Amino acid sequence: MNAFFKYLAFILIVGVTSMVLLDMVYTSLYERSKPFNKVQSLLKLSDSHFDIAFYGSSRTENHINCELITKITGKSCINLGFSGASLGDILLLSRINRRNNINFDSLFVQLDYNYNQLGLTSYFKANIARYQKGFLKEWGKSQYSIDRRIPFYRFMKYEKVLGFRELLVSNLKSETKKNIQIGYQAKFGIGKQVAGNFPKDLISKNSELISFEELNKDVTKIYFTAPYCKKLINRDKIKSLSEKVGIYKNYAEIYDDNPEYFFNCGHLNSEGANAFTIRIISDFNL
Amino acid sequence: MLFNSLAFFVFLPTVFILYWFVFNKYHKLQNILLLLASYFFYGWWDYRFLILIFISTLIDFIVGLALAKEEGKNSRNLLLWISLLFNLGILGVFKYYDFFLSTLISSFQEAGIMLNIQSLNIILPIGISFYTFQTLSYTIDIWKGELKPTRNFINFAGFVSFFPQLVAGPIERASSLLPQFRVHKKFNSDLAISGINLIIWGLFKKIVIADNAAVYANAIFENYESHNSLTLLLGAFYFAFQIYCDFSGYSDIAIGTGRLFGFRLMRNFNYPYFSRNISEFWKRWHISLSTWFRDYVYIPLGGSRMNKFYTIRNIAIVFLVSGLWHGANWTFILWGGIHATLFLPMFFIRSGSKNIMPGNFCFKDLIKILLTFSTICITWVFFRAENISQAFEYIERMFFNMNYKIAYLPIERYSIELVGLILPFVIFEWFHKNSEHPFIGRFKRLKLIMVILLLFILGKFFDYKEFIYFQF
Repeated sequence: MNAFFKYLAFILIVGVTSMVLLDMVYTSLYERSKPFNKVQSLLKLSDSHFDIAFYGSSRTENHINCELITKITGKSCINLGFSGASLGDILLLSRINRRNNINFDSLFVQLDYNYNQLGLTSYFKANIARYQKGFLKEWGKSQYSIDRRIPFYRFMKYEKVLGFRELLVSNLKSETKKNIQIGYQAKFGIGKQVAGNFPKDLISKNSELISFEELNKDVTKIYFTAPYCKKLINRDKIKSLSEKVGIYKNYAEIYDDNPEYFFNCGHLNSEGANAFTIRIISDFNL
Repeated sequence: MLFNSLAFFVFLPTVFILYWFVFNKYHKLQNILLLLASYFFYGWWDYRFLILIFISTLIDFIVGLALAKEEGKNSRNLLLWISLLFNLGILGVFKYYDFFLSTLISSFQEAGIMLNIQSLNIILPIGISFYTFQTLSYTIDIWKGELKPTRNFINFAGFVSFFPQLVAGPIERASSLLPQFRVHKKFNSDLAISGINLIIWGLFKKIVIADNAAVYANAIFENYESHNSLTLLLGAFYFAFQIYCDFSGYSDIAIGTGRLFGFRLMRNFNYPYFSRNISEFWKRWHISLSTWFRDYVYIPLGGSRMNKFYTIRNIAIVFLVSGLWHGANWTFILWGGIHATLFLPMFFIRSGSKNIMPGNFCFKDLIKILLTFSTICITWVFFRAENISQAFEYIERMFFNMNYKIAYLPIERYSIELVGLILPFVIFEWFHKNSEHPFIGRFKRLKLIMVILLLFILGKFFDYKEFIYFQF
């Protein structure tokens, strides 16, 4: 039995040593590497002022053409939307922006199904986990828990964003080509309008949205719902979002007669995005 | 409970410590522990289906004892039928009822007759095809007079539900596994070390190769209409490695886990993609199932003892039933049919009976291996596709789209990327094809360290997927 336990001990030592060494190597390489996606570029942004900013998910990232806004209005604009963002992500990003001295005069916040989502998305957590100690204060120490205490655990857990391939890409490739100052990512073509579901019932209140409002009480905030296709199930329930926040505009149904504007049921294509951006400029006299 | 889950890494050491350090002096208690651990292991997934295993065990135990007492041919046949009807009955209800019903309804619809029969829509208990076949072999062997029944219910229940191989095999024979429950084991370090090596190698195949291949294969198969020839070829290639590493990885972990408790389970895979023809492939792929069908279907049907027509019929039946065993879908039956068609010429020229992988390997063998592997990849399309028309569309597009540009997939990866992981794996396997795992020879420790490092670097620990064969 001794031989077996010696062998087992050898495997355990190799395992633990591997995790410690890999954690050191990954942390060091990630700290030195350039941001390789939009979220990481946003986290690195500092000391800037924008007249207008848009927070949201891909339904903001793909819909608001900041370059067009600047061209028409002369105002500086940043699109802070990223795929799948929850209100929790938006709240934390907003805290980080404040810490990094990024200021806005007006904030547009996308509100729809995300009203029912609580907490951070794993995609956002993964991007934050890349940094060894960053954002502790903004996130809260308890959130780090096991992610930080076990060496290499965070890289295994968030392998999709912080895996070996991403490590190679972030160290070998140049910085992401997306223009963060604009932040708009167009979708092209007219795809299938597969029916999605809007939640039947909205939760009574979203604590993260309340915290967001509190945090940004010195800034004008406008909430909006971007267009959806006609096929969206429970689309009529969107109206009830107006009861949840102050200034709110529901654009869900504005392109019912323009199917050519849709890439899919929840996303506009570039043509639709430009039309929608112009509509926002006009509605809010930007 | 999945082998690649955190729960299993708590469960296994716990059972190991209890088995060797608490109950080591009490053989009966060791077997009771294994039985309880096996039921806990299975119940972790869905405790309701434990009753099914228990009833199946009880019926075959009683039938086994009754068969030993009965001498009359008719009574013995009746007892065998009871076992067959019960085991195949639960398999039929849980696995095939909805499939045959929907086939019946659509056939009647074709004739303009509407049938209004409700489908059951019940969950398929995992591993049902494995443990029913295992208990069936016990009863059939006793009926044939090749095995004496056990009078120890704990041992028998342990044999039916032995947790390492309960949900996805290898499908053990009572003549091999049951006697191992009778022997009071002494810890064998060499056996346990080989078990640990197999577990690590199995985990590597599952977590590093199969789960990574699954990401690419799923992305390609789910959107096959929009992909070009090269991507579809890669999709079939990736799926071939997904299913191989998934299933053989499971078998390695199962065999390795068995060895930790002093049990020797049969080998289930022997580097099947290094086969030089389909006949050889079936001697190396899912060996426990192939031999089960050989012994309990093919030979009882007459095997090759009669004329060519009956031999062809028997082979076709075995492959079609084998296809159906994999799942209640016409795609599996067609997959079995294609393999039968490819197998038959090999069977008659007897090329598969040559010694596999001779020492003097030549270039001609390499060509044969590549041709056999390519053919198998095409047949996997039928296995993976949702339905037959999808499989044909996939294959048509794969050959006739003629666009061989490297695509960027929706998973934000280039279609070709994974080849960089799979090719070194194939080369590594090639150099270890004569052993059950690669941790042998002069550099065994170095290889072990490398594999552990790669497990951490490339493994999918959190996005893990169930083993494909659980569904069968």
